[in-house]
Amino acid sequence: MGDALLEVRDMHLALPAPGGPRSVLAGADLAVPRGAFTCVVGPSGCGKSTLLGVVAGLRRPDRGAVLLDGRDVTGTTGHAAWMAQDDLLLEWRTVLDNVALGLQVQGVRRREARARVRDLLDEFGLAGHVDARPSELSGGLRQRAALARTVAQGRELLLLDEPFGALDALTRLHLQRWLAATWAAHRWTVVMVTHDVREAVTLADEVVRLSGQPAQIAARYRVDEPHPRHPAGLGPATRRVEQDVLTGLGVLGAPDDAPVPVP
Amino acid sequence: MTATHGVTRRAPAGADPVAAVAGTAGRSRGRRDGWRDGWRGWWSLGLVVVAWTVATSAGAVAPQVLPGPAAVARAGAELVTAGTLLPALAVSVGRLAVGALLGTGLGLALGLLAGLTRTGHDVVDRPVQAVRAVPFTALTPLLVVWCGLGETPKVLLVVIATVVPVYVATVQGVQGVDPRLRELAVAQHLGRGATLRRVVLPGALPSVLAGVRLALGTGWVAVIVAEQVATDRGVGALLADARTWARTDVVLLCVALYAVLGLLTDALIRATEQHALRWRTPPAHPCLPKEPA
Ligand SMILES: Nc1ncnc2c1ncn2[C@@H]1O[C@H](COP(=O)(O)OP(=O)(O)O)[C@@H](O)[C@H]1O
Ligand SMILES: [Mg+2]
Repeated sequence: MGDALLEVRDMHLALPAPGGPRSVLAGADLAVPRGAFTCVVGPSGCGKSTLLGVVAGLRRPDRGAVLLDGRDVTGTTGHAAWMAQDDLLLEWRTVLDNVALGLQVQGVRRREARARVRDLLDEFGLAGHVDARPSELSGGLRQRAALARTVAQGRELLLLDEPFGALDALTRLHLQRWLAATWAAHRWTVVMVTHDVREAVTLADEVVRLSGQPAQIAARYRVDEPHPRHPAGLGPATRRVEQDVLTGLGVLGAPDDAPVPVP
Repeated sequence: MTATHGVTRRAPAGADPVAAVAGTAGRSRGRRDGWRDGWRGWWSLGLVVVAWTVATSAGAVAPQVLPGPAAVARAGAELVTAGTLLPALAVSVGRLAVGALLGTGLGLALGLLAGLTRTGHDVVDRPVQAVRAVPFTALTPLLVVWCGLGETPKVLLVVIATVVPVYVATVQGVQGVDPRLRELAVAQHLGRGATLRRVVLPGALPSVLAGVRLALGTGWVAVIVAEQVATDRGVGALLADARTWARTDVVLLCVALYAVLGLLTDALIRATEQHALRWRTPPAHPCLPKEPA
């Protein structure tokens, strides 16, 4: 745990609900080594996005701490780049200006910001869409633009909330491969929320499974197979991890005669 | 980053087949369509003028009651040569411009205040809603009592008429900005000022412009009403003189002038909208489906 870039300790958070505040996070701990890819899975609505938002500093936890390189960054932004579940592109800006948004307000000169972003867009396969508006892009391209905007902030730690969740299966497979390759090249430290267990075991070094509400860490699974992996050609050990995660989520392993539990 | 290009360049190339196909063509076509759509529907107005011409030249209507377009045009030429028409126009346009500028600015400021802060809403909203409940025309006598017969009450009436629609539209626009964009702003490290300038205001702009367009419409009504009450200069004064001398042609001319001014103002705002909101896909014309066979 010593060389962790990101540490989350004993995270607690209650959010307003109709019947009074309801506990959403109840003691979540994480340790993410520098350069590692961690995937967070869990039942829908259990608090995955909330956890990621707290790590990003979008909200302050009731208790617990977020440490980056041992430095307490709880409730602050700037230590990580966060990407929302929806792409949240500003429809009135071109792709270039969307991606350059963060740099512009950081005081980087317009010319320089644009030049830097152009290189990035090239790498993200958006070179032909630099001056397009988001509404002119396909879902896969929008997601890439949002990812480029996240990466453009130049942080070592990326927090991705279901980046491919809304995409069709084919586009998602393409983008998974592309993300794996880009990550391998840049060696970002990534924490990614997903509801797709296959995606998780394909991309991650470690899969973290959250329990149902209120969310706690229910289990961690190491995936040791070397990168790059392909979702259709995973090794037996990785497949076993996938089975374990699915079983943990209650999707697999119900005896034949027992009624399948309704989540 | 140079070392990465071998990997990453290759991956995206084949990664998204849609990427290659989805281009940005069709933008110039869209603009041409927009231009043509701008003229759509004008033929129906032309038809009205034709009907007017036919009715009056056939002698079906007495010229004292309804002079033909030619007579109205002659009256216009007469007033231009007399040097009264253009200054009158300038005065009326000036009243609208000054009043609408002040009203729009005020409406925008109040709308932002009420839309962005709870306290602002508590302070501003009720009074503005109260003003909104009173037809602004009812305020004319009060304004005359307070400010006399000069320019002030006229411009003030335009301000009151324009401030409300802009206020309502601004509040609506600001509150309609996707709240999740606030999280984006925080994550991208935008401060309050940058969030306002780069997220909230552009997001609210469509609504604000729609409000301004509405405001300019009521603004003209305010000008006309104001010029009816205390007529010294402007198109309203021409109208009053014409009434006194029973010059139906000049009366009609003034009415037509008001119409043209209103249409021009509207076209101006439309053009502004089309330019400032060109990122929006134009809404489809509402239409009913075909009857099933
Ligand atoms: N801003 C909020 N206010 C109140 N409750 C919230 C808010 N955001 C999320 N929640 C609640 O917290 C729980 C966890 O939400 P979320 O983190 O989005 O789940 P997940 O991402 O795992 O699907 C849900 O029950 C949701 O209704
Ligand atoms: Mg979520």
